[in-house]
Amino acid sequence: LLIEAQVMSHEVAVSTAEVPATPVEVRPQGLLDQIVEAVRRDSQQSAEEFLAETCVPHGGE
Amino acid sequence: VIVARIFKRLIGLETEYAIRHSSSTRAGPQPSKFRLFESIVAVLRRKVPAVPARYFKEGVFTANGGAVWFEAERPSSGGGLIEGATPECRSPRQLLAYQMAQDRMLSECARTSRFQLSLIKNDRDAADNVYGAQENYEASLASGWRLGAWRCGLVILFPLALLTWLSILACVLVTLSYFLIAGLLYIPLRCVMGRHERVTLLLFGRDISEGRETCVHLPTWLEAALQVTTRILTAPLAISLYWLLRSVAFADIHRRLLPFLVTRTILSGAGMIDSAGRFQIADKGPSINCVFGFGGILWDRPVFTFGHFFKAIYAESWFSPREYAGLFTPLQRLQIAIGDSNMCPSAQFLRVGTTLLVLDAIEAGFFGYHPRLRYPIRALRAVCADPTLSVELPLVGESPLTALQIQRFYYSACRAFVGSQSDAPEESRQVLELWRRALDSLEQYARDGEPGWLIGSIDWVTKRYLIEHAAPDLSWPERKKIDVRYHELSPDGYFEMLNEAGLVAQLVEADEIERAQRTPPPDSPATTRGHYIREFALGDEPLTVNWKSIVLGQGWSSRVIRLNRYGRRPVPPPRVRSGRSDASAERRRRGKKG
Repeated sequence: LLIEAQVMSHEVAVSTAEVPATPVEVRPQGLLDQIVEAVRRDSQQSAEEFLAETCVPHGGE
Repeated sequence: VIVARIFKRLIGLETEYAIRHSSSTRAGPQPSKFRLFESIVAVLRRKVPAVPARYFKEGVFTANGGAVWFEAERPSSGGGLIEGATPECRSPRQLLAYQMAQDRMLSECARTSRFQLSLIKNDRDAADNVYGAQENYEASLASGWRLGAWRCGLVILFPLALLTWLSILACVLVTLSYFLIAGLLYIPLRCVMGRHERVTLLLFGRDISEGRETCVHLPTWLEAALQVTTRILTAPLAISLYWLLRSVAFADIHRRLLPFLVTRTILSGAGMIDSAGRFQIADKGPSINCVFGFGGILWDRPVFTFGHFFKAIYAESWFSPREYAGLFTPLQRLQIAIGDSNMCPSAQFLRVGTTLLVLDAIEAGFFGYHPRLRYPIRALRAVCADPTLSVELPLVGESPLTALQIQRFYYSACRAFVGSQSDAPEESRQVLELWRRALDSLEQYARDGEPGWLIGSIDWVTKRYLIEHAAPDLSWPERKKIDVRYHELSPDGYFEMLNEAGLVAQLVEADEIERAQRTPPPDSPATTRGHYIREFALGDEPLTVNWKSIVLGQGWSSRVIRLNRYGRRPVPPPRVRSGRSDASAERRRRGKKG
């Protein structure tokens, strides 16, 4: 990939080779897994009722 | 050398929140959304100084200079949303603090209101009703011949505006005549039938039949008839104004900003499960059906909306001719309706920060070349439907590029722009750094599916992760519940759960958010507005406020303070009557509290 952009008199050239590598983040995966499990359990409870409660017919502009 | 002003313009966000009244806390019949709105505002007024809005819709302004509105397309149907509008800010970080303050304040008020409500900060419900967020940027409408054409157009449009006001006035007179006739009819009807609730509702609407303020001033059938009639009566003005705006307003900005906004979706999209069960990157994007429009007046959902110009002429100028005169000035409000309501602070910071940088660069004349999308709306839908980020968008006269590649172009141009300005604020470099990091991470995500930093930073990736890991085998309603509940502003909301667990990247300190709930931003019309609200909200003298002025007192003795001259002079001291002083006002306040 090479995008060449003429921006006024400035020459801007960017290639993926110039892009520094994304820093690797260490995330507390266990915590994320717990939330995923909680979301899974909650999403199965009265889903249709929840969706009806959050509907806004003739709502905004 | 181009000398530019970076992060100097006024900016603001409008956010619509769905009000959820859970069946578990509900007893008796479902109150209308307006009643729920009232209960939230009642708590709000106990928490912070607030005064009634002087506007054509129900709402209040608060001490930080922001506003809270009741939004309803057809109030008599019982629907409606609560809308929060931040005060006018100057920088993306400042705006983020005010948006987060607003989210927190309104959600706390909803939770502690007598109906125990919760708010959903999203853009589309399960029945595909679309609402959500709008961004406002102060920008130069035109210069040179275009500005001349705009001003000439306004002069030519004036007789048409006058005619429209007269026809609306005729509509009001017909409505009043109707109420007079209905009243005369009702007296004999009541003698024959007794007090009949359905007849009262049919003739006069909920306000009168229920004997209280419900924000429904008309019967349902009359409201619908008037809505159609006013659309027909205002159509010639709307069409003429549309073509004037389309021809001259923000022409350069629209052209250069559009490819950026379409592809910005990969940074700021909130994610959504559509009615066919597919994952879309944006909540609102798939419903956008035109580039320019008035935003809902004719079922249009535009990228750039002109609705505020139309309102200024047909609704506001009727009461105040100054509003019409204000349209002649070159600095106007550019309104963008394509963005989603973000939950992740990083996504919101990027949504506003990157747009501001691109706008600053465009207005500084920095963009010579820019990619031009061949089919912008088709491109937007293609971007929204492609979480793999691999779809290529056809360009005019060039090979197709992906959304990531187009974003890389804008990023590199803005980096060069900021680099060329010796006095660029540090915050502009922070925006660039976060922008680069987000693009790098998205590229890696597209390559190997590893979300990494994107979880808790970019909404659509976070939501997609939750849906794919929590509900790979679940039904549509269950997947959709994850989509919607991600946006619930309560401890039960899924984003809030991630936030509580420390999995969300934070950009603003808690005390900044706390301060932003009560104090207006400096160097803004909100500074003066907030000052008066704090001073007079609990006093005896009535104060009403809108975005452009403050009215102190009532009737002939009232005094109007215009907010368009903020910054050119210090905040004027409030007029002191009957020997009142700040100290006595404070004593009075304490006395009322005690």
